[in-house]
Amino acid sequence: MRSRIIPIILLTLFVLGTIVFGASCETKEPIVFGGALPLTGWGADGGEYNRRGYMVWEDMVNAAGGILGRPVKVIIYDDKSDPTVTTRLYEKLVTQDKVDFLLSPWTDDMVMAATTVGEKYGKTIVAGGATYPAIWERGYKYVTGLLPNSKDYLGVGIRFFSGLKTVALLNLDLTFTTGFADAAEWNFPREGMTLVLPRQTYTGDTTDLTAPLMKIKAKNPDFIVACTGGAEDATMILRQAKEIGLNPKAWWFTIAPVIPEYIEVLGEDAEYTLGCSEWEPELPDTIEDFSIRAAFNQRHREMFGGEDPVEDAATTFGVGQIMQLAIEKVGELDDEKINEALHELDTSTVFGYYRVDEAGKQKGKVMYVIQVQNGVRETLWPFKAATSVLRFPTPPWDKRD
Amino acid sequence: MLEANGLRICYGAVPAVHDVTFKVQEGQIVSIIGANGAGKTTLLKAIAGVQRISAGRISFLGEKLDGLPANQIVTKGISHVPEGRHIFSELSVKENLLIGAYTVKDASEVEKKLRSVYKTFPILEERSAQRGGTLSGGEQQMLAIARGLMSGPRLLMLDEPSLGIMPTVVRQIFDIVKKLRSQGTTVLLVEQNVKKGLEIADKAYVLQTGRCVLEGTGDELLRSDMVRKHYLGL
Amino acid sequence: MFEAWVTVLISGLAMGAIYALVAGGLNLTWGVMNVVNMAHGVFLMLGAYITFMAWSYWGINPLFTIFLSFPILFALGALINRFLVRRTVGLASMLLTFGIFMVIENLAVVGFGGMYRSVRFFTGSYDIMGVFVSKPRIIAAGIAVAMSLLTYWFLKKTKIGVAIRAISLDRMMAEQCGVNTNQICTITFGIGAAQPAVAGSLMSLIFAFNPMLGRVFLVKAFAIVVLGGMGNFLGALIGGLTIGLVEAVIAFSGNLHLSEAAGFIIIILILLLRPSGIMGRRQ
Repeated sequence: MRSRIIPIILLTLFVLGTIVFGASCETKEPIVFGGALPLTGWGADGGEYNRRGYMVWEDMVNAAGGILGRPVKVIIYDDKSDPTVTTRLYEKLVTQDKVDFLLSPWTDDMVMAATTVGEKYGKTIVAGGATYPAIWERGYKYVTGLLPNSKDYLGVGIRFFSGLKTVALLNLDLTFTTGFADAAEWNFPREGMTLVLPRQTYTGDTTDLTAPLMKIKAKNPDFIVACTGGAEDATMILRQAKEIGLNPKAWWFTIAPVIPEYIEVLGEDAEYTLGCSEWEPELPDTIEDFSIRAAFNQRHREMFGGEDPVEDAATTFGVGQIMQLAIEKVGELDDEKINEALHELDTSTVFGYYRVDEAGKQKGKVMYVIQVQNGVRETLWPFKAATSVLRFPTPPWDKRD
Repeated sequence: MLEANGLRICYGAVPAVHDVTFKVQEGQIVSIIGANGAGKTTLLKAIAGVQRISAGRISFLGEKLDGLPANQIVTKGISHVPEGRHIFSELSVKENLLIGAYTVKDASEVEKKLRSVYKTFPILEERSAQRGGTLSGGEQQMLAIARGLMSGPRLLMLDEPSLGIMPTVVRQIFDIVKKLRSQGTTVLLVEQNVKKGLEIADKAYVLQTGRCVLEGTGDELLRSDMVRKHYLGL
Repeated sequence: MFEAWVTVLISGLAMGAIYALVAGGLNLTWGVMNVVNMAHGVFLMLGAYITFMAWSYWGINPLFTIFLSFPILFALGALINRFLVRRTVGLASMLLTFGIFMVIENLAVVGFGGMYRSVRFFTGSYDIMGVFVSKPRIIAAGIAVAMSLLTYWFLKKTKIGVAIRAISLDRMMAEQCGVNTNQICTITFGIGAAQPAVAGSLMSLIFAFNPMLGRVFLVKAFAIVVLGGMGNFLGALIGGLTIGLVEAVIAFSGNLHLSEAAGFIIIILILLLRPSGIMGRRQ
C-alpha cells in the first residue's frame, strides 16, 4: 500500500508545482497568439511582467472588438527559464496547437531559441525583451524586434560620460549580460575610455564580491559599468562597494535601475546610480508618441492590484500592438505579407517608436538616461524629456549623509 | 518469566523458525544452542522486537510482548546484546553506556548504574573517554554487555558473546554471566560454543533448522548422545 | 596590499561561517537519517522571508527574528518528516523532498511574489586600520558560528543529542537501547530545517533575495558536507570555513569562475584521497 501512495503523492506534488496559465475563451473563432515565458526559474520575475503585458493587451484588444472583427486569444506556456524548453514549446505551438501567430519569449537565450523555430516554419516573431545583437545578425528573415540591440543600449551611457578616461567593467555571466559587457567593451575605445583591468565576471552563484571589488579599488577608475541582470547582483555590488569604500565618479548599471524593487531594496545606497531606461510610465509625449499609454497604465493597474506597469510589461504589450498593426495593415492572416509589413512599419506603440532595418534590428527607439535621485528615478536625457539634471561626481560613501 | 509459545518467524516467505516453544525461569541462565542458521539469533530478535513473528505468542511476566516496538521492550525489563556487538563506534565508551540507560529517567540512578558496571568491567572505566570503535574485540563485547546492563534489565539476552574473542576473555565473560545470575539477573544465552553454553546453563534448548529438538538442564544435554555426537564431536 | 588581503580573507571566512550553518542542517538529515534532502534550500528561503516580514511589518530587530525562524521551521520540518519523509526511504525520499521543494518554492512565488527583498538594517563596514569588515557579514557570521557550536554542544552533551548521534551510527541498535528513533528523527529533521532557516534569516541582512534564494546554497552545502565528512558535526563548520576561505583566496589571486570551481575541485580531491572527509574517521 505504502509503495502505491508515494507515486501518487509525488504526482500530486509535481502537478501542484507546475502552474499553467490559461486564457479566457470567446464565442467567435479567435485569432490565437502563443508564446512561452519564464514563469518559474531564474527569469520568473521578468517573465511575470512580460505575461502581464500580453494579458493587458489581450484584454484591451478584445474590449475594442478584436482584430479584423475576430477576438484574440493568448496562450502562454512556462519555459522554466530554460531555452531548450523554449524550443520544445515553440515547436508544439506551431505543430500541435497550430497557433496563428507566435509571441516573443523573454530574454536573449529564449529569443534565440524561439526565433530559430519561427524561421524554420516561416512564423514571424517580434522579439520583445531581447538585445543580443546576434539575434538579428544570423540572416534570419522572420525576426524583428522592439528593443535597441545591446551596442546601442550600452552606447547611450558611455557616450553620456564620454569625458571620463578610466573605466572598470563588472559582468554577470548570463548570455544577455555578457552581451552587454561585450557591447560596453566595443563602445569604450570609441568614446576614449580605457579599461583599467580586465572585466570582472561573476556568476549567479557568487555570494561574495569583495575580491573583484578590491581589485577595482586598487585601480581607482573614474567610471564603473556593471552589466548586472537585476536587483540581486546590483545590490551585492553596491553594498560591498560601500563596505570597502570603492568610490568611482559614476556608477552605471544595466537592467537593475529600471526594476521597481531596486530602490526599495537598496534605499539610500541606490542614490546617484545611473542606468538606461527604454520606457518610463510617465514620460512626456513630446519625445515619443505614446497615444494609448494612459489607457494601458490604467488597465494594468486594474488587472494587477494597483501596480504600475514596468518596462517588461510595456514591451510585450508593444509586441502585441505591432503584431496587430501589421495584421490590420495586411487585412488577412498571411504570414509572408505580415512579416513584410513588420519590416516596413514606422509607427509608435506604448513602448515607443518602432522602425527596423532590413535585418529586423530596432533603429527607431529612443533611450532615456536615468539617475536615482532622492529615491526616485529621474530622467536626465534626452534633454527634451529631462526631469532633473545630473548629480556628478558621485560623492564618496563616507561623505554622504 | 519469559514464555514463547508456538513461535513461527519468516524472512519473506521463508520460515526461519517453526513452532518453537520455550520458557525462561527467573534467576536462571537459559542457553539456546544450535548450528549456524538454526534460527537462534532470529529468536532473540523476535523477543527484542526487531523481528516480527508470523504466529505464536511471546509473553514476559504475564504481559504480551509481541507487536511492541523495540524501544518499548527495553522498558519492560529486557535487554538485548546482539550478535556482532553493535557498538556505536564514534561514540565514547561512556556515551555508549549512557545510551544503554536511555530509558532510565532518574540521573542519580544512571550514575549508580554506571558505577556498578564500571565495578564489573574496570577496563571500561579506564577507557571511558575513548571511542567505542577503538576498543579490542573483547573490550567491545564487555561494553556491549555493560550497555545492556545499563537499563537495569531483569532479563539479559546475550547473542554469541564468545564469537571472535580470545579464550581468556571468553572465560572472563562467562564468569561475569554467572555473577549476574547470582545478583538476580536472568540470562538468555545464545551460543555456538555448545560446551560452554551448556556448562553454564540451568536449562537449555537445542535448535535445529528452526525447530526445538531437545530440551533439558545443561548437564542433561551435555550427557545426551545426540548433543555429544552432533555438537561436541565425541 | 596586506590590508586588501586581510579584508578579502575575513570576508571569505564570514561567508564560510554562513555556508557552514546551512551545511550543518543538511549534515543532520543526510548523516543521521540518510535522507538527501532536496528541500533544504526552501527552509533557508523561508527563514529569510520570516525575518523580512517580521522586520518590515512589525519592525522587529532582524537579529531577534532568529527566535521566530528557528521554532517555526523546526515545526515545519518536524511535520514534513512526520507526515511525508518518514514514509519513504532512499531514492523515494529524495524525489519526495524534491517535490516538496517545488511546491514550497512555487507557493512562495505566489505568496511573496518573485521580486527581490532585503532587510536594510546594517550596511557599511568597520574600518579597522585599513581592513574593511562588512557589518552585516561579520554579525551574521558571528551568529552562524555561535549557532553551529550550540548545535555541536547539543549533540555532544544532551541526552537527545547523544541519541541522535547513536541513530546516525546504528539506528536499529539505538532503537533496542530504548530510543524512540521515529521521534528522535522527527526532532532531527526539525533541527535540520531550523538551522538553515536561521542562516536564511541572517542572509536576508546581506543579500537581495527572492523565493529562489536557497538554490545557490544547496549545492555548496552538499559540497561542504562531503568535505567535512558526512555525520561529522564539527566537520561541517570546518568544511564551511575552508570553502569560504579558499574561494576568497582564489577569487582575489585568480578570478571568480576559478574560485567557484575551486570548491568543487577540493571536493573531488577529498573524495579521491580521503573519502570520509577532512575530519572523518570512519572507514
